[in-house]
Amino acid sequence: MPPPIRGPPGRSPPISKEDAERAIETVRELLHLLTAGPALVRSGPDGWHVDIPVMYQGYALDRIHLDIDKMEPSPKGRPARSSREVNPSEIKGRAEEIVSELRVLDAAEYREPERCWAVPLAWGPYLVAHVKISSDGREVVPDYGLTEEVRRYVY
Amino acid sequence: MLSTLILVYVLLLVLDPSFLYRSPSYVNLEAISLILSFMLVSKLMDVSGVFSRVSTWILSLGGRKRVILLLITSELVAALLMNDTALFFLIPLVVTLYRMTGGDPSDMLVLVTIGANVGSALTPFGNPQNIIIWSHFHVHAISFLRVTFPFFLLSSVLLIIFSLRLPGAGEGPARVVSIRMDLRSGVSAVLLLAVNLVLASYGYYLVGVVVTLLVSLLVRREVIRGIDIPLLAMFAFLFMDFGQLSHILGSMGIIPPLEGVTALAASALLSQVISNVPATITLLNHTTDWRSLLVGVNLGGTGLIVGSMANFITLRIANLKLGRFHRISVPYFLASAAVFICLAWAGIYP
Repeated sequence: MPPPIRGPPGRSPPISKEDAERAIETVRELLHLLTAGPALVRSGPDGWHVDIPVMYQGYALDRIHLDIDKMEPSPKGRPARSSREVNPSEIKGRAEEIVSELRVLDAAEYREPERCWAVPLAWGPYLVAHVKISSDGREVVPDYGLTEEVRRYVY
Repeated sequence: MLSTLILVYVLLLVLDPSFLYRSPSYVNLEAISLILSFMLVSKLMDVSGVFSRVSTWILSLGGRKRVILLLITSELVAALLMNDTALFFLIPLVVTLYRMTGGDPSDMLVLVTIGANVGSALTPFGNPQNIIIWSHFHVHAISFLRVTFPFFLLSSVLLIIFSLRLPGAGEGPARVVSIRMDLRSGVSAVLLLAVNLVLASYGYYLVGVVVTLLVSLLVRREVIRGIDIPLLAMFAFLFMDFGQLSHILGSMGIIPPLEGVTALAASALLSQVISNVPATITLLNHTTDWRSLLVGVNLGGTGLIVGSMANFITLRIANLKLGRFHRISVPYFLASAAVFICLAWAGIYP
């Protein structure tokens, strides 16, 4: 038997193909204003992890996993690990370059619990991040948890 | 910053082992609980996206009125949010504007930072030094505003005069996609602000913290994750370290009792050396003239980079050169210090 569908019925607003197209167009419009936030460097038992936050107007939208051995992004869902420690300042320039090389994929998925579209961003052959857009396709939905994490790096 | 404060604590402990037992008494729990409450309210207001919507509208305007409106917005936003939270979204906004319309944002970034410092001086919860003075002297919110409003007004006029020499951020309108609004968070933040003000004026600080935590948990859970424990620990160590330094300097007769123009000038100058929150804590027990202390430490938030934490935030987010910052900030500080010291000297204000 399939698992039950959770959440109250009719909570999410109606959506259409036009909304999805508008969401993709909105991401195209803001793509040139995306910047790289400070690199988030963490150590774990399996090595060092580096994430680059994708920022828009001071809010973090998503994180890109960075493979510091190759100095290029790792696909979403596969955080890269490295045995060498990295200084965030040494990847700053490269992080900006990577963000400027992102492109918008021509499709969107809908996320019911957050009532928003997730428009994928690609770097080369990899899908590396998502930008969340409101269900009407007009406004950006930041990742506030990540935003807080990024802001702590500023202090 | 926190590690430096811990190191200073250890050094003070070596000098005087009895500091270990006295140090907790230096911590102003009322102020720390208020900082926590207003930190949460600021974050709720921030996630509501209301200020982002207003700013997006300002960007869509063209010409000099956009510069003036951005400065006024930075002041008003910082008066309602704590000044560092305000700068976290105001600075990227200015950078975005200049990226879209061309030009160098450096001067505007400095003016917006001064605007945030000036604006945060208006309300009892706009910045940590105001919260500390408000809770330490148990000042009524209206009496507080009677002192800060003239400061806010005169400083704003000065800021606008300084902005007139700015070349201007491109003339054309800039259309940017705005952040999704969450009215529920916005309304909750405004209500919590009022509740905290009322509870604090009756001395129920901890009730305010509990109510704020519960409402934040119900409205936007991620706001709770934004509680910055190291920042709160930093304030506790600031109270202990500078409370002890104040005690030592006072007992050596280095800090005499301060009143009037002396209190104002000393607090402004000390802020330029050790930053305005430590200056507030150091001078708190050496004056009964809270008005002069309040104006002095807020005055001292501009000028040299060390004046306030907000200045460092701008420098780090925008990668601004120190020289560019001081080129505007120091003349602004000197001009405003001259105005307020003259007014205090003449016995007109505060």
